[in-house]
Amino acid sequence: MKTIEEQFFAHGRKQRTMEASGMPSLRGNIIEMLDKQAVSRKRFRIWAWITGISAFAGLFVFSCFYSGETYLSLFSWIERTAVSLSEAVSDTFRQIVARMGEMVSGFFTGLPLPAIEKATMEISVWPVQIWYVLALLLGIVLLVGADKLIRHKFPA
Amino acid sequence: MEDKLYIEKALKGDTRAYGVLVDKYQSLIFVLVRRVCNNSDDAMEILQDVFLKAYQQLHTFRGASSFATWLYRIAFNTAISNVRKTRSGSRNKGTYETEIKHTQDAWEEDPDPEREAQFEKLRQLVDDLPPSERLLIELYYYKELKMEEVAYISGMTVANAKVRIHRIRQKLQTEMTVS
Repeated sequence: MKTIEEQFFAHGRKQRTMEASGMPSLRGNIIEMLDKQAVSRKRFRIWAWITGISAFAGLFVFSCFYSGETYLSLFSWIERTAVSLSEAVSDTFRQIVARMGEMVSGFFTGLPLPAIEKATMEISVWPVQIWYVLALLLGIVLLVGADKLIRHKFPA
Repeated sequence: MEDKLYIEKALKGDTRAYGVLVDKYQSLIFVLVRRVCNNSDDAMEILQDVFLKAYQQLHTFRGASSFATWLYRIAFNTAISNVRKTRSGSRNKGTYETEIKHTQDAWEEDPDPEREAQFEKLRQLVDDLPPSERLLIELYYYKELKMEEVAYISGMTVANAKVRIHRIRQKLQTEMTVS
């Protein structure tokens, strides 16, 4: 036996079903409106680009015409600054390289037998490049191992 | 699953695919929106608004809830803001009563005058509720949604929604027993 409340809501549900069944389909209207909106959005975007570009071009021409001198002096200042900066950087770099070269040659002359030569002698059977390749392979194996381990521990 | 396919197509700009979703859900949303509108025409206008808004916000649908629940949420907010704008929360009762009489005739095989009177009173009380409360009743009792869904749609916490619905129910019970 349904309570009055249950009956009331059940009755309401039936009413709503009937109410909804009689309504016209909105599909066509909505599609039409969305298509219109898309067209007007596209048109707006095109006009915005045209307006923006022409405004920028106009402004550029106008400013070149009235402030050409100022622009010239500004660009020449930028050029001068860039040249002096790059010269300073390359000078510093050259000095660092030269100083490092001195340090390295001093280090090797101080040793009883140069380390690399010694190593090359010890592995004289194989050229040193093979050891480099082996070291590289070992590095790759280590990286792949670490990757597998991490993926295993923290699966996506 | 089927909805997801149409949503993906709609997101790529396929309005025809969105049309399928409109067809599928329009009656559900209409019934909800109708509860706070003066007449069916107003409800249809809001319904249109809801589907246009939903299309614009479709990219925000993450699938955490069903598409219907997500649409209900948009419909709830649109209907409430529309009521606030037009201040037409109170129904045009004359029209609605006529509709009710018409549907009653169609459904009732064995009319019981006493029960009808009680129904009418309860219906009147529900109609006199503020729009947001009317929508909560609609979602929970008529659409039989879960409390979590009602809370999501109305933008409340579950606890808050529970309390609101409990209070509305108490209010209706009190009003019913008073007379």
